[in-house]
Amino acid sequence: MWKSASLAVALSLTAAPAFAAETLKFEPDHTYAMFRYSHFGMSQPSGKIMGATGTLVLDADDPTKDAVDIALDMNTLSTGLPDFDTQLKGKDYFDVATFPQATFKSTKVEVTGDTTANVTGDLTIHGMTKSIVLAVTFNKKAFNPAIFKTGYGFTATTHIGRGDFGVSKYEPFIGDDIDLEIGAEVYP
Amino acid sequence: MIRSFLAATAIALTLGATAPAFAADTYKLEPSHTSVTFQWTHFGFSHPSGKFMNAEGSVTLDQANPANSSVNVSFAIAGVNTGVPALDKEFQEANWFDAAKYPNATFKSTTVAVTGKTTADVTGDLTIHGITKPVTLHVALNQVGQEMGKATAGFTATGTINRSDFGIGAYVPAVSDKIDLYIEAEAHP
Repeated sequence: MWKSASLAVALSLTAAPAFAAETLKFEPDHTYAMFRYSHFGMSQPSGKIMGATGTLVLDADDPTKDAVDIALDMNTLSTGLPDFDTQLKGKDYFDVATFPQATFKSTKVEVTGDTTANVTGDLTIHGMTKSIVLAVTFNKKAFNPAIFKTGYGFTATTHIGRGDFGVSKYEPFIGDDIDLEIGAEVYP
Repeated sequence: MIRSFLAATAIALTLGATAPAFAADTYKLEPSHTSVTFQWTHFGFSHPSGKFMNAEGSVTLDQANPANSSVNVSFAIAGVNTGVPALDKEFQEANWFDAAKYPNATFKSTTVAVTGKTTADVTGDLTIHGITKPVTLHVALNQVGQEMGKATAGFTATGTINRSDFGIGAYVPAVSDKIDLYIEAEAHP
């Protein structure tokens, strides 16, 4: 992503060569983290967390200086089952009254292809922080006529162990491994 | 839904050795662990999604002749969950699902083609927004067994539809016509 995204930044900023880095904001209605886990090996329930705030810095000259700093609102957690959402937000799981946000702050960006990068960073959930790696794909840079701005779209995936974040209720009956699929749109 | 049918077929195959003369058994979908996730592309930037849960449906399984088995499932449009409350509300309106007129989406299987030991293509009539089209879902049987002491069959199914086929073409192509379906299901005898 970074290569292309940064190239896009470079092209878009050719009129202003002195400013190599662009700071973009996450668009909350089109930025999401979907989590999926195994339910006794029978099915894979999922949920979604929204309410993103934060910034993405894209550096046209040096993609390794790109940086993500994002927070999601744990109160937006939704599985489609309101009673279950209440359980997940409660003390036995995410305890959102005490820990209302999940955050990710990048520490390292490693370009892996024309449209891909591995982004290492500190993920904080439930008040506990662990270093993880996101496999990120740059989807597109374009003008979005709906909001009259030029933005960027990304998809990222990773796995985490929920026990690492102190959210281990019903392990091992309900698996520790959580699939994460993150989608994001950023605009100036 | 479809997966339950497949489920039925799979159960039939699995239990064939021990299950004797029953002509047909009925399995019920478990609403809290049955979901249809639909995902689209937003200007090519991101892939938003929505989810229907609270399935109502049953599978009639004919163990002697799986081809005579059937599935019938219904989802309430009102239950859609995208994570964006304003969008959930907008989807109910006349230029989207028009839930006042068409409160449910339904699927009724018509044929099952076994494609592997735990997989099958299940074709059926999908009705959304009052329009019915044949759709084939690729179904995988995840597991058949006991879940907390309860006999359970679990399935995952995938498929693709064009929303314009169902008269829901607003904002195509900026918001993609193609919709990917990811279905998870659990069913109990």
